[in-house]
Amino acid sequence: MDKNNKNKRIALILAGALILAALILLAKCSHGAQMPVKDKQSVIVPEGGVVLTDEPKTSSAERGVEIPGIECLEINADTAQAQLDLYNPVSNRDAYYLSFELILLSSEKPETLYLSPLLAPGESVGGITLSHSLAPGEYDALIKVQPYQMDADRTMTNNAELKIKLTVRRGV
Amino acid sequence: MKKFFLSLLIAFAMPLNANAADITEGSGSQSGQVSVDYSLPSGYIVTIPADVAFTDSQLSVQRAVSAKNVRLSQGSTLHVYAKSKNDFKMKNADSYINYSMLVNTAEFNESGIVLSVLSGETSGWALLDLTAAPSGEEAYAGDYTDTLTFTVAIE
Repeated sequence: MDKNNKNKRIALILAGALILAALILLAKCSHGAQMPVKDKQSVIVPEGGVVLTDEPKTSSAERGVEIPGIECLEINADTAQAQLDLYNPVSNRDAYYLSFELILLSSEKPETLYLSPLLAPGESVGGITLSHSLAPGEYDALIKVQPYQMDADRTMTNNAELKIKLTVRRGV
Repeated sequence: MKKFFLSLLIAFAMPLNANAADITEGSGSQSGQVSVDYSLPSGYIVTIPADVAFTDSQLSVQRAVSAKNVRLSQGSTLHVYAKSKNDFKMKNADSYINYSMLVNTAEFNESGIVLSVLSGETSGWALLDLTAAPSGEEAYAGDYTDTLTFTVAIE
């Protein structure tokens, strides 16, 4: 029995030694050919390689100008305060400013209710003050979006007009 | 005693459920209804060609009109119309240069529509082929320009 226990102990020690040796060998092998560590912020660039991004490398003229649009706008009656959730997309960076003009079509002559300042890419309109309040009802309106090149002259480009339904409600 | 405290607890807890449906104790099974809703607005992002520049060596230019993140009410369609300020003439004072536009290789028709996206679809695009036709007898040097306006309507 003692002999058996002794043999078992020797076998265990030998097995442990073998495992330890294998681990040491593995560590030495991996040290000689380390995999680069990639974290969320870094990009691995192989030698002579090219970093690929999501966007193709085209000029701003070829990319065009992105314009967000809405179908409806709801505002409160008897107040000139309103919320206009429009913005200049970040994708227009280094290329175009945008301005937004809210035009009422239902009156005898189209009239501008609001004209935004030039918005840089990433900026939004948000809370606005209309030229005057409106009575409750549904109106045809237009949002004229004018892009401007980011040059010294702020050159105007082709533009867009977004047809919308303007709903004026009491106590919204 | 236990029942007394339980009743007190229920009595104090009741005002906290003011917004829930009231279900009063009765002999049979009871039920109440609460409406649950979430309103999703319609919207889209369109990309239009900002500039089209012709040169002597490049009289034909391709641009695209596209729409993405489109969300419409069921049954409606997003249309993008194009209109030239000068009836497809690039002008410099009283001199002009004609140009033409094809939409997805087809002639640009009277409807003015360059792109349509149906409800249920989230994106779409159209290819514009623009070709300038200078006569060679233009009166003036300088910039000949026109402006394209793209009107977006959900119909």
